[in-house]
Amino acid sequence: MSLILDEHREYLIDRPRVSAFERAISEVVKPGDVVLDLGAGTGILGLFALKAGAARVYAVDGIGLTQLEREIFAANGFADRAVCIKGLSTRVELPEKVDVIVGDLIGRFGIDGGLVEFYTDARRRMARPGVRTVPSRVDLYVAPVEAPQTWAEVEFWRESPAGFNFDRAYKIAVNTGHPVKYRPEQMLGKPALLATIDVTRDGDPILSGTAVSAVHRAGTMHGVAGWFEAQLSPSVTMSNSPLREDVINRRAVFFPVDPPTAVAANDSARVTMRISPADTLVNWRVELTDGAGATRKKFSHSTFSGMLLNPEDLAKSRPDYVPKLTIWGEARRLVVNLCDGKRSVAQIEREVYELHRSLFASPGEASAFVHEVIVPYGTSD
Amino acid sequence: MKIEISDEVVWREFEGEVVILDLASQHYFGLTGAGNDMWQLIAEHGSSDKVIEQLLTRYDVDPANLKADFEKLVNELAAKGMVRVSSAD
Repeated sequence: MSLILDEHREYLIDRPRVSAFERAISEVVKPGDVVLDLGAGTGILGLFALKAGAARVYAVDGIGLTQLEREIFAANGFADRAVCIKGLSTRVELPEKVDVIVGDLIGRFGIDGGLVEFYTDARRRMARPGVRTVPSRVDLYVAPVEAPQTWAEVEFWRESPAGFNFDRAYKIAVNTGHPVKYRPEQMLGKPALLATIDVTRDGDPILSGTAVSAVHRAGTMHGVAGWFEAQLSPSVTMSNSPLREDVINRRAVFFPVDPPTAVAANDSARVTMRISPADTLVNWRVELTDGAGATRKKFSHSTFSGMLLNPEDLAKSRPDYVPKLTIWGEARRLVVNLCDGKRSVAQIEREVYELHRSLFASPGEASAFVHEVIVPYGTSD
Repeated sequence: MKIEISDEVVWREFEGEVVILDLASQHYFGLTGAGNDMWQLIAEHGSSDKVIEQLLTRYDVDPANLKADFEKLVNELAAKGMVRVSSAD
């Protein structure tokens, strides 16, 4: 059962998304352009670029669809104009600079799909000055929201599931963003623009914004809804906003507030977020004020408090931690050292098995271990 | 004096320790024991007088020593950019 393939099938049956990208790419890509497709998947965006007349498409993907991409490009007559590369784009070198970068790394809220990290790197290392990007800009929107069913999933941890105390998990859940498909009537206030990501230039590593949403009806505010609107090209936008008819099939985000609070028409919700896209770390503060401007309640949450930390891992992140290698680390170092351009894989597997018999129940296990290192890091160049 | 935690840090309590992440440097710092209490009181009160008053109810120490230890911690935190100090209380 291929979950990866089914995920990409879902992308392809999402007509608003596919249509938006096809129109945007045909607007941005000029005949003769060299195009980089980041996170290429099955290659659909690269196919649109080739259809629009691109001279060459470099399709980069790290999740293992590379050979499938090659066969799909070939089946559509583009074998000579598509170069498929397996790996993280931040570790890839291209033989030429590109004119256009395309991709759908927007995630659910603009900051959770790698957009900032991978586009920034690609612009700096792989693109001509003035490179065109699809998308060029992503706006983040927030609104106070009534979401009792989603709140119930958070509250679940305080309800002694199976008769045990799981309260600690509540603290994690209430400091986590949850994917949600909203209905328009769940919005308690008009969406407000929180922040904008300009994909064409380097920005602050920390994205900050404040948005004020006027509450337009009484209800219970369970949290803040977040979604994006992406400018794919000068005339094409794409969004997972629950308020748009052409919404794509991608859930938005629910940021809880603790506790859920009754709101009245003419209240205001002032939402401030600080976001580190590199860590997908989000701080959200919400100040609820009444019609006269008096503060009724303040909320403060952070996905840092929602992170599943282990003290052992945390200790290793401190600047003053002095590490040594475990026995597994020593075995890994041995594999790396044996990749000297002279030894074959079979020789390396034998040596690793002989020197670390205590780690491997069989030569087969040692082979799999060696394979884990050689596939991402080995080369014959 | 007024003490404000920087917007560039996020923090949480974890295993009896306050763990602070500096978003700018991506470094973690930890405060335990009295340092843990001092940080959480700064977060709650934001005023050196109120923090010291609370600490004196928890620790049976010479007030002058406690004040000196607190000021030393605040200076270290301010030097790392983790708090902002101003004279208004």
